[in-house]
Amino acid sequence: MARVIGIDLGTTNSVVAVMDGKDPVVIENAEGDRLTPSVVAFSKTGERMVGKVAKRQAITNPDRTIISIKRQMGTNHKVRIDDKDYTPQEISAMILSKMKADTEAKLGEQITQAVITVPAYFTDAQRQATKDAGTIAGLEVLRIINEPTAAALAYGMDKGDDHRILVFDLGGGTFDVSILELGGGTFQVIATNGNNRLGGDDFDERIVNYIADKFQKEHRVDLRKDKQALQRLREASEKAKIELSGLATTTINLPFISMTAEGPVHLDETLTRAKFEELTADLVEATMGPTRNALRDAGFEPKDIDKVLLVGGSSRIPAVQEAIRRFMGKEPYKGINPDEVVALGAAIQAGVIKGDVKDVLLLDVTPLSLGIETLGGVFTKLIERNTTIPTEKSQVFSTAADGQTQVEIHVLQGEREMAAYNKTLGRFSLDGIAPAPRGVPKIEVKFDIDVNGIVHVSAKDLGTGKEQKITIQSQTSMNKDEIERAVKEAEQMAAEDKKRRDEAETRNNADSAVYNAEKLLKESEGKGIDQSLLDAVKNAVEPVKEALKGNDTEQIKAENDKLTEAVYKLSAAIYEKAGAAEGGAPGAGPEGHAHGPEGEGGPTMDADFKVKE
Amino acid sequence: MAEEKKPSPQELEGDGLGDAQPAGDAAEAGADAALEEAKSRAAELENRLYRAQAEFENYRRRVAREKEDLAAYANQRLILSLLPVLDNLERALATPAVPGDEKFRQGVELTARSFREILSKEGLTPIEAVGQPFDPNFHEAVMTVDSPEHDDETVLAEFQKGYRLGERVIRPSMVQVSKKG
Repeated sequence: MARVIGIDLGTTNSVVAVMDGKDPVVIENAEGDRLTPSVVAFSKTGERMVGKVAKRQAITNPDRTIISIKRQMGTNHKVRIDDKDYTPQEISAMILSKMKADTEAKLGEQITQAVITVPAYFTDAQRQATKDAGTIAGLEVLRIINEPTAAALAYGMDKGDDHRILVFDLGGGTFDVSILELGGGTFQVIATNGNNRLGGDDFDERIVNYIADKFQKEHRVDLRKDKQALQRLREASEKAKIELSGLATTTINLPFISMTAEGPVHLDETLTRAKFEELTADLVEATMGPTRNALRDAGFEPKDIDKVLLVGGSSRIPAVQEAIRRFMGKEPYKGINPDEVVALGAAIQAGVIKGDVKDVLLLDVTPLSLGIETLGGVFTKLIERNTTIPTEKSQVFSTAADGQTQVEIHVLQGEREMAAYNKTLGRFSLDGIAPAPRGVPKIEVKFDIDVNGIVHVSAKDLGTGKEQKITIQSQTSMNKDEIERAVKEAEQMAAEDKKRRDEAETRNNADSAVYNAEKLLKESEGKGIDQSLLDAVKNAVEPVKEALKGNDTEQIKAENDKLTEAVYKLSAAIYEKAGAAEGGAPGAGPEGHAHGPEGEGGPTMDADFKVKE
Repeated sequence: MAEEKKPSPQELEGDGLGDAQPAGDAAEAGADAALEEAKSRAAELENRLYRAQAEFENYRRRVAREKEDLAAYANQRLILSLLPVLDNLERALATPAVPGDEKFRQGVELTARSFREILSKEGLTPIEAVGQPFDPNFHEAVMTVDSPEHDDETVLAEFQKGYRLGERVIRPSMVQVSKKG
């Protein structure tokens, strides 16, 4: 199905996202990046470059490299390249073309429609120019939406009661504040303000200058005059700024940054967050002015705002967040990547317009794992929690005792390893199983959850074809808190549960081993096998039986291991004998291993059903 | 799925008079309508099913491709973050030799070489820069210098080595580019 993409066409960087199922995802460009610089360039030969490649040659080609074209949208500004005049929308279209082509390559499908975002303060002319850019790029622009609105959508704020949102967008080169009001399911822009020459780049420059000044004082060399040193310093400064958002201190370590008559000079400076905040305090304060003005224009006080959203990479700076927190008196929303949140919101809008979202919302998940009780009181999961429904899963089980003609299916829901700690959803029995040694019958248990969440559990004896089933309606009736509690409890009790489960399984294994060993002994009698081997097995069986009477799992395991060894030796001898005697039929041969015979019908659990008394 | 209820003849509107014939027709029409609706619903569901299957196929293909990419470039981030170490070792070696430091220099040279070899085994290759025509796919220009003797836009000097990991340029060469007047 042709998908509609959401594009954040930014001044410095652009991002594209698309709905993948019920969540929006950012699509990487051809270079493997999630952000594409909004830079367009024409080479000497007229070849077009967009993105990082265009940026790399900007210095060699300043007249034919175009940056920040967004600032010219809606104006009559023209860019002249090789006797041709390009409008801002034609230049923007080149950026959109690259994003369209890269997305088509990544997704493997054609893209013809898009939702594109614009600043809330864009005029009609600017919006139209943006729409035209899309058309030129071969995209049908289904809608132009406001960047702050897109951010609000990404946070799911279009659901719920009417409320007021302040969106704080501090990007690479621009700063925008918007006040939105959600009323009757739609967003309205009440006020906007900002500073379109204030952004993350300014914060970087402060570090560059601080370090360079310090260095100059010490070494009498101005690093800013050396292009190579300056480039290294800029990159290091940006990295340091980012690190200081998470750490209290970082180092800028640039060996061999410069050469003097005395030899090479190194730069090794520590930068604390406190110092960084001192250097950029005025920049942070500069964001508060437009914020105050926007509120004033809207006629609101900070307390009238219900939610504050952070957009733009530089909104990650702790000092910025602190200033907002203090001024607005509430914690801002920042859970979604601030560089990508606008594109994600555009993708959500695209999905809603296209109707995709409606279709996908029909799919639910099963909140807790479903399964049955098996031998030893163990909970055997058939369907994992959070599996999207409708779904079905079946598994083949067997009987626990010789001659067992009935099995009980105890259906449970939960995350604990032992059945007793999970919630019983229902029980039923299947009888009429042909009497056979334990582990021989094949009972297929199937769980089928339909699109409405109703669970159908069936048990079928693959031998006789007899089948019983049960339908459980109330599977999804647990509320979110109950579900979370069940999951948490399972996590906390995981170690204990595992121990119990291991105990049960060790016991089951030992039990099977004893049964199979005794069977093997009976079959091997009178076949001329070395009596000492037979005796070894007989002697090894007793301690296991004794151990099974008690509760010492270690002991059970130890005795079982000894038994297994003795049985292997016996089996080896039997095979040898069978091989020596011509045409020794291996068919009725020994099956001296701890687990039941391998079935042809899919995986056979060695955990069996409880015998119904 | 809701079952379509067939209207019984008595429930149909129209004059109570008339023979069984019109009522029969009407019942048939009702049955026809129900059939049509069921058909179109089935067609819609069939369509949805095929779409979902197709989307799943595409998704599966895409995930497989992403997995391949991930495997090929899993170490990209680590290698990229280690490059400055190699850079600085090479910078150290580029400083003028001082009498008496031969052994030390040699040690640094061996260390740099061993590091280069390790990275090379991971698929890292240096990018050719000096003397090459400037190519923004591989090089990043940080300055230009007027130079009449060179072809326009030739790389004159390399300030920092660029590297490829397999086919991907993970760091462009930082270069100085010539300009012809």
